[in-house]
Amino acid sequence: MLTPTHADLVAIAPEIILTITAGLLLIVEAFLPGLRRHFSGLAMVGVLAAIWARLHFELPGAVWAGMMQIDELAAFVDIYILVAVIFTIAMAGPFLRRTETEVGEFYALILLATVGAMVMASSVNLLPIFLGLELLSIPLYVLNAFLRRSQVSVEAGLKYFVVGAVASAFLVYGIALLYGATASTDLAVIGSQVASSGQLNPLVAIGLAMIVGGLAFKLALVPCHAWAPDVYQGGPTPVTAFLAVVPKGAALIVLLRLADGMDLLHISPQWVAAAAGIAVASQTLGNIVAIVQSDVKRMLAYSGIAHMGYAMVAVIVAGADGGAAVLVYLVAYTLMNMGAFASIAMLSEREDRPHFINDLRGQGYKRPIVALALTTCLFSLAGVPPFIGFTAKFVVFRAAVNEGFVWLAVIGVVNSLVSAFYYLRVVYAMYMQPLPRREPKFQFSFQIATAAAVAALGVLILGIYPTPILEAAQTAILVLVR
Amino acid sequence: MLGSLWLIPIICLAGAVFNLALGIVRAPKSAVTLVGVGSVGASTIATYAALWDYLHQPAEVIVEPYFTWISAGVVNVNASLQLDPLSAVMTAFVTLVGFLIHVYSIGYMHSETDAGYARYFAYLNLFMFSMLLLVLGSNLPVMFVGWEGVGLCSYLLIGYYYDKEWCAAAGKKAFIVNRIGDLGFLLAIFATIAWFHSTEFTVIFPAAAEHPDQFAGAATIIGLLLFVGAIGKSAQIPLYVWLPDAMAGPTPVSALIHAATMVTAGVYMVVRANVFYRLSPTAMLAVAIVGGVTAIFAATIGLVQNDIKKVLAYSTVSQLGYMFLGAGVGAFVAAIFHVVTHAFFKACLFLGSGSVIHACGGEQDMRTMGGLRKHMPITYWTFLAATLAISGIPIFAGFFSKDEILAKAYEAGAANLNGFGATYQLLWYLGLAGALLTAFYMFRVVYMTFHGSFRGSEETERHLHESPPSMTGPLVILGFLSIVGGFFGFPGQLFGMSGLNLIERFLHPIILPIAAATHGAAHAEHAVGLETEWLLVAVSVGVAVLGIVIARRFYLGPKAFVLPRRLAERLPMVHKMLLGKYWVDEMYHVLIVAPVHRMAMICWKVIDELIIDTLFVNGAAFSVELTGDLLRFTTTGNVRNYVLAVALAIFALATFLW
Amino acid sequence: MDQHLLFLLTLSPTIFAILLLPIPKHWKRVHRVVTLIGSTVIFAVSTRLWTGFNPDNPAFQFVDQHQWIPQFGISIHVGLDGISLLLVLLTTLLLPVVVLAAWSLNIEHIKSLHITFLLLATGMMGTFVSLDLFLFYIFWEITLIPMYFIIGVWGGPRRIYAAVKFFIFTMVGSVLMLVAILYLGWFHHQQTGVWSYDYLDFLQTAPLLSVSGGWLAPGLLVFAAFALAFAIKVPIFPFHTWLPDAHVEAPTTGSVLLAGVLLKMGAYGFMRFNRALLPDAWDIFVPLILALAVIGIIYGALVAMVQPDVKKLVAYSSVSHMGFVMLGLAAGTQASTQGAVLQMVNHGLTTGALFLLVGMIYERTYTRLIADFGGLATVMPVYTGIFLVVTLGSIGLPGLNGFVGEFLILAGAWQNYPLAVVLAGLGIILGAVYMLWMVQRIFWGPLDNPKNEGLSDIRFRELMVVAPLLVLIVWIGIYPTTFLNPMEAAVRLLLAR
Repeated sequence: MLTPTHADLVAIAPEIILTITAGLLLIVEAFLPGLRRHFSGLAMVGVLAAIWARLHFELPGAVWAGMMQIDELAAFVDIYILVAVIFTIAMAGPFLRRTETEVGEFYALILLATVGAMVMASSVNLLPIFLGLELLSIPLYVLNAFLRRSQVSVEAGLKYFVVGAVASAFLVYGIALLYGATASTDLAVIGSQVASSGQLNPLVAIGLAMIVGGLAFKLALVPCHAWAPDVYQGGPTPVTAFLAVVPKGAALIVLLRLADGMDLLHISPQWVAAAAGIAVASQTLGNIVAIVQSDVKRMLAYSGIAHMGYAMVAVIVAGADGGAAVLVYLVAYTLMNMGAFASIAMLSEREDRPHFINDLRGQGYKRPIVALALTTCLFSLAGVPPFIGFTAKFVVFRAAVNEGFVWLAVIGVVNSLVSAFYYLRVVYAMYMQPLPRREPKFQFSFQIATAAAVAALGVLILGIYPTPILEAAQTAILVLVR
Repeated sequence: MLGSLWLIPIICLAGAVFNLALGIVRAPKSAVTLVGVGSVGASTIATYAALWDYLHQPAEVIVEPYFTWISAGVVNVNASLQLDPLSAVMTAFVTLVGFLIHVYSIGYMHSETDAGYARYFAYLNLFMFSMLLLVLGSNLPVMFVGWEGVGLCSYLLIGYYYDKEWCAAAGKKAFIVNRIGDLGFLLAIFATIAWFHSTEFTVIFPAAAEHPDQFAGAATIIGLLLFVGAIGKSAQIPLYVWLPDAMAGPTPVSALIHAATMVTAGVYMVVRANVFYRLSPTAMLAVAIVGGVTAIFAATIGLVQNDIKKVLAYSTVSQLGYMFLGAGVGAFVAAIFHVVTHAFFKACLFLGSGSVIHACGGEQDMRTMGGLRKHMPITYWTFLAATLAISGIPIFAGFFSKDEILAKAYEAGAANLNGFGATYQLLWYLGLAGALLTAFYMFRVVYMTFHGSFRGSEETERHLHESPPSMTGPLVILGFLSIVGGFFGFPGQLFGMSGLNLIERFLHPIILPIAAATHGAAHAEHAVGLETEWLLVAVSVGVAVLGIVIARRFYLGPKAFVLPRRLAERLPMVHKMLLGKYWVDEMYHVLIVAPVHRMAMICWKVIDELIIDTLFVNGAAFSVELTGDLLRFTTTGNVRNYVLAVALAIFALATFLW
Repeated sequence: MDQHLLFLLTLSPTIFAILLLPIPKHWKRVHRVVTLIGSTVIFAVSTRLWTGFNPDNPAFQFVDQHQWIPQFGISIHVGLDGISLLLVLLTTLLLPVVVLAAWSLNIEHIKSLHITFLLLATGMMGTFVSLDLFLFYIFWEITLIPMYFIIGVWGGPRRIYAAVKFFIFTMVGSVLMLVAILYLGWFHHQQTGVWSYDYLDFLQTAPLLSVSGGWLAPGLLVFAAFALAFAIKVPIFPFHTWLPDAHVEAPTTGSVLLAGVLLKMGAYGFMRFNRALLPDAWDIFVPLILALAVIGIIYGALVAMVQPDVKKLVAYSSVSHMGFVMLGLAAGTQASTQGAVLQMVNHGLTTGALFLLVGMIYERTYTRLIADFGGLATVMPVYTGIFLVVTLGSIGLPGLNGFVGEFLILAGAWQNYPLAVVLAGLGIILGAVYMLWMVQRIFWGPLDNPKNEGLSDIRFRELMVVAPLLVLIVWIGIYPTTFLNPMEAAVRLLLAR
C-alpha cells in the first residue's frame, strides 16, 4: 500500500490543477449554465495555472515510487501539450458558440484527456502509461461524437472508439507479455534487461509488437492509420486539432522511451527495418493520398500520417540526436497544425459539411490575416524555409544522416517534395483563384484569428531562430539518454 | 597626325551619333549633310595628313595602343591601331571613295524624309567608322570589331527601306550569311591566341615567318579559317548569295559597301595574313581555287541578267574572285592593286547606274532603257571609261591590275608553284575566260543602256535628265581615276625598267621574308621570260577585245537582241540555268534552311513539349495522382477493415521481430 | 559600418517590406514610391561594396559573422568575393529598374506585389553572400515563395500551372541538395570532430570526399545532388522546360528578376559549391556538363527560332545563353571562367532589358505574339533603335557586352575543347538567325496590323527604365576591364583548387 508523499503530490500539481478545473466546470455547468460564455476562459485559466505550476516547482525526478519521472523531459512534453491545449480551447470557444454546443463537459473532457496525455508522457512504468492512455482515449471517444446532430461526427466518434478499443486491448496484452518476459513493468528495468540480453527474445518481440501496434494507432501510422481521415473529417475541428497533436505527442514519447531504453537501434536490426518500413510507408502513403483529397481536413489527416512518418525516423535514430529531433519535431508539428486547424475552423461554414479546398478560393484577399496564417503553416508543413517545419525536418534528417541513414533522409526529402503539391493547392486556391460565384459565408472570429496568427508567428519566428527550442529539447533529452 | 590615328575613325563615329540625334529631332537635311559629309571629309583630311607624316618618317609600322580592351587569362587584347603600307593604301582609297560617295548621296537621297535622310547618313558614317577600324586595327580582334561593324551597317543600309519586306529580308540574309564566315574568323582568332598567345599583327606574323616549320600546321588551320571569313565577307563561293540580294539597298550603298570597300575586306585580310598563306600551300591553293572558280562562275551569271545593278553585283563577285586568285597565286600586291583599281571603276559603274536609275525614275531593268547617251552624257562617258577599265583595255586602270594577276597565275602554273602547277594552269585559263565574259557582259550593259533607242515609256522618256552636280562630280573624279589609277602599278619590268611599279615597291615590306624557306615560297620571280609576258598581255587584251566585239554584234545595230535570243533558243537549258543563277538559293533553301527549320520544330514540339513535358514532367505528376487515387481506397470507411488492418499489422510485426 | 554592411544590405529589403505592411493597400502610389526609394537606397548603398572592395584580394571581403544555431555550428556568415560582388550589384541594380518598370501597371494587389518583390530581393542577395550552407539553403529556398506568388498571382492565363511547375521543379533539385549539405556536415565532423556547415570549413574537408569506387562514391553523389539543384535553376537541358512557362506567364517584374538574377543563382552555385568544394568530382563530371552545355546552346537557339511568342523566344534564348556560361565554367580556364561570370552579368542585362522592352509593348497592345506585330519601326522609331541595340548586344556584336563574354568563354575554352567551341559557334550563328528574324517580323516590313497604327513611342519613364542597362551594355562592350578586374583574383583562386 503506497501512500503519496508531499513530493509526489507537488510533482503532479499541474495534473491536479487540471482535474480540479475540470470538476469545477462540470459543477458550474450543472448549477449556473448562464456562465457558459466564460467556460473557455475558466478552462484557459486552469491550463495557464498548470503551466505555471510546472514551471514554478522544481522538478523532483522520480516520484510515485519511481513510476513517474517528473524531469526536464516531462516538463518539456507537459508544456508543449498544455500549449496545444491552449490553442484548442482558444478555437473551441467561438466554434462551440457557432454550433450551439458550448457546454462545460466539452472543456472538462478536454482537460481530463490532457491529464491523461501528461501522465502517459511522464510515466516510466507501463501501468501508469496504460492508465494515462485510457484517460486520454475515453474522453476523445466522446469528444469526437460531440456534435450530436451531425451524422459524420457521431460516426467519427464511433470509429475512433472501436479501433481505439482494439488498439488498447493489444497494448495491454503487450504490457502483460513484456511483464511475463521481464518480470517488471518498469521501463528502465525492461530496457536494461533487453538491452543487456543483446537481442529480442520471442516474448519481448511479440509484446513490443503489440505495444508498438497500440501506439501506432494513436500515431496513425501505416497501417493503423485508416481511421484518421474519417475521424479528422467528422470530428469538431478543435477536437481534431487536439487529436492530431496531443495523443501523438504522448505516444511518441512512450515509443521513444521504449526504443531508447531497449537500445533497439543497436540490438535489433529487425526493429530498425520494421520501423523504417513503417516510417517510409506512412510518409509515402500519407503524402500521395493527400494529393487527391478535396477536403482540407482529410488532406491534413493524411499529411499528419506522413508527418508521423518523419517523426518515426527520429525515433529510430533515438539517442541524444534522435530524441532531441523528436521533441523539436513535435513542437513544430504542434504549431503548424494548430495554426492550420484554427484557420480551417474559421474558414468553414457548417461543421457537418465537408471542408472543400474549393471553398477557400479567393479567401486570400477576403480574410488576409487568417489566409496568411494558413499559408505560413502550409509552407511550413511542406518543409520550406524559413519556417519551423523546415528546421524540424532539418534536425530529423540531420540526426538520420549522422547515424548513417542517408537513404531515410533521401526518402524523407523526396516525400516532402511530393507534399508540396497538395499544400500548394490550398495556397493557390486562396490567392490565385477568384471567389466562387456562391460565396461561402465564414463568420469572422477574432479569437480564432488570433490563435491562428499566433501559431503562424511562432512558426515563422522559431523557424528563423530555433535555437531556444533546440536547447530546451537537448537538455530535456539528456535525462533520457543519461 | 601620327600619334592620334584614332581621330580618323572616331570623327566618323561622332558624325554617326550626331546624325542619329538629328534624325530624332527631325533636323533639316542641310544640317545632316553638314555633319554627315563634313565628318567623312574631316577624317579623309586627317587620313591624308597622317599618310603625309607617315611617308616622311623612317618607321615602317606604327602601332598606337590606346587601352587594354579584353584581358583575362591567355586572352590579352589591346585597343590599338596600326599604320603600315597596307593599311595606308586601304585607308587612302577608302576615305577617298567614301567621301565621294557621301557627296553623291546628297543628290541621290534628297527625296527622302528628313528623318530617313539623317538615318541614312548616320548609318553611312557608322560604316566609315567600322571600315576604318577594320583596316587600321593592329590586331585580329580590333579588326573583327570593324569586320562585324561593316556587316551591321550593311545590314542596316540594305534594309534602309525597312518597310519593304524584301529589303529587310535581304539585310537579314546578308548579316546571317556573313555570320557564317565570321565564325571562321572568330575561330581563327582563338587558334591564333592558342598558338601565338597574342593577336597583334606585329607579333604573330614575324613569329610565323621566323619559325616556318614550327608554325606550318598553325598557318594552314588559321589560314583556312580566316579564308572562311573572307569568303563570307567578300561574297565568294559558296557564301556569295547575299551580295546580289544586297542590291536592295540604295545604289550609293551598293557602290560604297558592296563594291568598293567592305566586300574587299576579305582580300585585305588574306593579304594581311600573307605569311600564313605562304607557309601553307594548301590554304593558298584553296584561296586560288575559290577565287578562280568564283570569277568565272559569277561572270556566267552576269551574262544574262537584265537588272543593271544585278549585273554589276555579279561582276563584283567575279572581280573579287580575281583578287583572291591573285592572292592565291602569291601575287598579294597585285590583289591589293586590283582592290584599289576595282574600287575606282566599280564605284564609278555603280554610281553611274545609280544616276541612270535616278533618271529612269527607279527603273532598273535594262530592257526598258537604251539610248540614254544623249540624255546624260557625263554619266555615259564616265560609265564607258569604267567599263573599259574593268574590261582590261590597256592604259585603263583595270588592265594593269587584272593583267598582273593573270600573268602571276600563268607564272604560278609555269613555275609549278608548290607543286600544284597543273591546277594553277587551269585557273589561268578560267581567269582568261572570265576576262572574255567580263568584257562581254559589261559592254552588253553599255549598249543596252546607253546605245540604241529608248525602249521605256514616253512618260519616263520625257523625264530623262542628267543628274545634279553633286552626283556627276564624283562620277567624273572616279571616271578619271579609273583611267589613270592603273599607273600606280605600272609594270615597268615589261620595259626592262623595274621600280616604276610604285604600289609594288610601296607594299613590298608587308611581304615578310620567310626564314629558311623550307616551304615552297610563293614568289616564283620571273619564271617566265619577257616575251612570254608580252604574249600574255597580248592574249588578255585580245580576249577583252573579242568580248567587246561579240557584245557589239549582239546588242548593237539592226540585228540587236536577235542573236542572243536565237542563242538562248539554241541552248535553252544553259540559258535557263544562267537566268536561274544555277538555282543556288533554291538549293540552299532545300538543303539547309528548310531542314533546320524542321529540326527546330521537332525539338520544340516533340522533344520539349511531348517527351520532356508531357511524358516526364506531367507524366510524373499524373502517375503520383493516379497512385493516390488507387491508395485512397485503403480507407474504405468500414471499421471492420480498419480493425483487421491493425490486427494483421501487429501480427506481421510480431512475426518479423521474432 | 563596413563589417555589418553586407548583412544589413541583405536584410534591408525585408525591412522595407515591413514598412509597407501598415500602409493601407489602396494607397497604391505610396507603396510604389516607398518601394522605389527603398530599392534605390539599397542600390546606392550597395555601390559601397564596389568602392570598398579590394580587387587584388582573392579572399572573401565584408565578412560578417553572427552566432545563430551554435548547437550545429551554424552561424550567420556572409562575405563577398569578386564573383558574388558582380552578381550582388547586378541584383541591386535591377531592383529599382523593375519597380519603375511596373510603375504604371494597372493590376490588383499592388501592395502585396511590392512586399513579395522586396522579400524576393532579400532572398536573391542572401544566396550570393551566404558563407554558411544552412543559411545559403534557406535563402535559396526563400526565393521560391515570392516568385511563386509573383508568377501565380500577377501572371498570365496559365499562371497557376507555371507557378506550381516553377516551385516543384526547383524544389526537386533543392531537396536532394539539403541531404548533400547534411552529409557534408557529417563528413566534416568525421574529419575534424567539429560540427559545422560553414563554407570555409567545408573548403577544407569536402574535397577529401572519395570519388573512387564507381558511381556510388560519396563524392560523386554529393556532387550530383548539388548539380541537380543548380542544373534546374540554370537551366541546363533537359531540365529547362519550367523556364518558358514561367517566363511567358510571369509579369515583367517576374521575368526580369527570373532571367536577370534567379538563373544566375544556378551558375553561381556550380562555381561556388560544385567547382570549389568537389574539384575531383568536377573533373569527372566535366564532359557531361560540357556536352549538356553545348546541347543547350544549339537546342535553345533552335527552339527559340520557331517561337510565336516573343517572351517564349527570349526564354529559350536564355537557355542558349546560359549554355555559354556553363561551357565557360566547364572549360575551366582563367579566360573562360572569367568570361562565364561576365556573361552571367551580360545575360542579366540584355535579357532583362529585352523583357522590359517586351513588357512595354505588351502594356500597349496586350499581345506578345510576333504575328500581331510588323512594321513597328514606322510608329516607334526610338523604341526600335533601343530594341535593336539590345538585340545586337545579346547576339554578341563586338563593341557591346555580349561579345566580350562569348569571346572570353570561347577563346578560353578553345585551349581545351576546340570541338565544343566549334559547335557552340553554330549557336552564335543561330543566335543571329532567331533574333534578327524576330526583329524583322516585329519592326520591319509594312505596318499591316491596323491596331498598331496608334502606338506611342517609348516614354520618358520607360527610357529611364532601360537607360542604365543600355549604358552598361555599351560600357562592358568597350571597357570590360572595369568588371573583369575585381573577379580576376577570385576566379584564379577558384581554379587553383
